[in-house]
Amino acid sequence: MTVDARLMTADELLRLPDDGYRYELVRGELKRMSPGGAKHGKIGMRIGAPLGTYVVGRRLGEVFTSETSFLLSRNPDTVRCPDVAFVRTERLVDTDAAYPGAPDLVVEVISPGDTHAEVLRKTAEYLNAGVQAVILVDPRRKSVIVHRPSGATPLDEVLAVEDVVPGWQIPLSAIFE
Amino acid sequence: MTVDTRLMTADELLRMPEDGYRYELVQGELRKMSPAGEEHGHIVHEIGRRLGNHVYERKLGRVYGPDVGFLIARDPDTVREPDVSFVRADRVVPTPKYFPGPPDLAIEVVSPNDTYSEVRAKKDEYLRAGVKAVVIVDPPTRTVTIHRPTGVEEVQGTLTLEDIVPGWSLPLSDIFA
Repeated sequence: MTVDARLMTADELLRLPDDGYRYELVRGELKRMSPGGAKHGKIGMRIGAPLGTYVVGRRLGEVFTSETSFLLSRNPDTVRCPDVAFVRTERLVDTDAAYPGAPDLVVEVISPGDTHAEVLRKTAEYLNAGVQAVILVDPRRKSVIVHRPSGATPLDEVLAVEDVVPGWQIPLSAIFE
Repeated sequence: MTVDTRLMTADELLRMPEDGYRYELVQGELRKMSPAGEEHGHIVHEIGRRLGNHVYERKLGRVYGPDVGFLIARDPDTVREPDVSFVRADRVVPTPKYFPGPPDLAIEVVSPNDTYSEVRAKKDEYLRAGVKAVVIVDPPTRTVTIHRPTGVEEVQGTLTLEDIVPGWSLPLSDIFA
């Protein structure tokens, strides 16, 4: 049996000197994130901005931008930075460290180089950590699919997650056009 | 406006001299396929063998491996080679050319470098062409999903496709050894 190299913790990740890159931690292993393209960032905002306006206006919770760290599991630590995340009011924690837990809702915008296995693995990780709905947005196919613990649902015309953010919806055309 | 380079047809692809590579045609554009890894080949062969045994014993139709082209769209032509496919008996067309239409079932085993968008775009194409079910097997995450025009289902434990191949079942533990 070989001895693993020592794994990094979420606290160590937070104290890591800034080198211009963003990192995630997957079961204690550091993963450098490649900077996203313009289309990726635009689509993230087209969902995050209206979602933020909606939930903050109704005091339903807060929406977090893509540099926010969520400590999804400990020992070994997994820290992920979803493209857009929502946490409902009762679960909000005011901290300068990573949010200690999973968001209620995650939006991930697929980049052209994202492998199938990596997207599936990340989605499973979010759901196992307690995220209620993971929205996968594929700009190249103009497709949106919502993954919940109970299964996956492709959306045709309107993005809505009634069980997580009641009443909120935006047409897919407002995301992709 | 620019003029497109001339697109290739299925007949031209069929007449192309052998150069050791396999190709698909996606809306008239030639796509070279890279040779697969060992795990991919093993899983493809094992699914094909198990499905083939069931189908041929019961004369349900024909099962094909990853070297058969299906002409799933014309003008511009799209020729795809699913890793494993099934055509039921009444739709079989013996021909030295590509099968003139979609299979009833297409199974794709994802390679580690396949991107999410590519895999899902191919799945979309198959369903649009009339394939009844597309099965996506992702070895790194040991997940299998069945995509139908009506939605998506994640397989738990045993793969069955009662509506397409009655009586057939494949425990996932047999392919993800």
